[in-house]
Amino acid sequence: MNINHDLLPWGNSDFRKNPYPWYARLQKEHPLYRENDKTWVITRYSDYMEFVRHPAMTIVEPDWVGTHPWRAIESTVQGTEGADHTRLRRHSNKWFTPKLVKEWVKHAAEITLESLKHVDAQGHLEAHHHLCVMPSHVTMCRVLQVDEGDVDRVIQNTLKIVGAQSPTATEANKATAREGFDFLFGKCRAMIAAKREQPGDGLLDALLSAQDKGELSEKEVLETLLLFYFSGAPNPAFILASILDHFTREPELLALYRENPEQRSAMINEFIRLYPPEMSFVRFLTEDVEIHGQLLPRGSCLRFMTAAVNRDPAVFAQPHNFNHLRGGQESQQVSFGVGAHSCAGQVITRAEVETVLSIITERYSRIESAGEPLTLSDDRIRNYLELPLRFIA
Amino acid sequence: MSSYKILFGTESGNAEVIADDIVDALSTKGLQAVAIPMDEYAVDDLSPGERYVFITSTYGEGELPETTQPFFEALNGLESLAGVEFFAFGLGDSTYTNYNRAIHVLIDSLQDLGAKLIGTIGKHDGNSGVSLSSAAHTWISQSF
Repeated sequence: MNINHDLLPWGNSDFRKNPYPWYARLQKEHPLYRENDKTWVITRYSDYMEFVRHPAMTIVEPDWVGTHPWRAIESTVQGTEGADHTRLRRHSNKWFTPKLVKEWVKHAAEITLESLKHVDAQGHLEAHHHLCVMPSHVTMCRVLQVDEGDVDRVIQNTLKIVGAQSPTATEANKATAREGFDFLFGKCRAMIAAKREQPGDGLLDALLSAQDKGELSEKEVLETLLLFYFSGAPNPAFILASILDHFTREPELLALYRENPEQRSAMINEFIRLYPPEMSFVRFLTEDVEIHGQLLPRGSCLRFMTAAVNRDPAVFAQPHNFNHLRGGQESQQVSFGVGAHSCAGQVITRAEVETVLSIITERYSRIESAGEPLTLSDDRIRNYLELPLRFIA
Repeated sequence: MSSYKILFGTESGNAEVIADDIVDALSTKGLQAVAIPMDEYAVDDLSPGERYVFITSTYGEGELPETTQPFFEALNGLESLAGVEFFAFGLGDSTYTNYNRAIHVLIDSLQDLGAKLIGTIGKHDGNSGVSLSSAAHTWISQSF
């Protein structure tokens, strides 16, 4: 039951295309917006920072949420808290340290160089698949040491599962998501079987070794593999595609990136602020919590609006404009989340994006649109499907 | 020639970045230095003949990170670190209540055993917008 559907019109096509005017009104007039009898929405930066790490906030869903497709990976870092969460996270953390990531992104560089061979004589390339998906997907496969093939079907089925996370997901979306999970679980089970036949020294081997030592369960290994396998590409690919798309609209930023290597990290951070792949996420209350004078009962759902928070004018001056010279708090966007549940892949994502963009911009001085991008965005997640570009040396 | 052992404890690898930066900076000054994960260094080997830099992040709500914890616990088995001198650098996030608690917990334990802290404690604030390497180099230039 929406209290006022006009304030947060999930599913509305204009809202999905550009939700920021609605976010701005919520920030100004309804910083704590009651979406329905169980769910509250937070859009201000200050509230996000105060409450996202509140000790009463949990990622573990209460019973009233009921069953849904994403319960399929509830035995991962995305469905656990406390000691179990720390135990699971530590098995993967050591594979994504800044030092190791420098090694992993050599694969992204190799694939980017390979992909640029597909640029035709007129400079045309479908950039989303070749330059956004492939470098990040193959890199993750090589970290895991699993089969790199069947990319298109992996991406198609990943898009199927994320559709079920929309606040307006229908039973049809959920059924589609179950199909996606079935496909991905099938792939992952086959990878584990292949590893048992022919072990290596990748992340999946380490997970299986931990299982054999009793540190992880069979279920945890399978679900963790699936989480890393499908999440390797979509979010880095969206960020990369958003930046390349942005370069077509503001070519001076490409020049800035190309000519100022020392500013690349800050530029990428600012692009990530503007273009979070995941627009929001939810947490649940383990006890009553008061926010803006309103007592939210235990079990309530809080939706944290990442994309709104990243453009809160109280923190980010001219929030819709690109400005990589923002300092201090203004550089602290929340696209990767904060606290214990912040994105485990943020270091490798930033490094992949910088690697791919650096190779492209060192070879090409200008990028033009070669056709309307094809996107698939709902109320929670953003994706490109196709990004036709023309690269000019 | 002074020799430095840069012992780092980490959860996600950021302390390792600081450790490597310190090794590089000291090497350019002609000083010998090596970075060693804290959980791979035996506390019994702590010696007045060496110089140390202890680096640790803070995990969660003020806890010690995965590879600092076993080293810290092993310190309890020592009787004295008299004569040992060390620098210290902590990584934290000032939006947390127990900002950079872990490095202070470690320093207290080392000092209780008679080791001597040299210079100012270096710190990186994950909420500052300052990069790890930038924070490390500022502290290195002030400390060495």
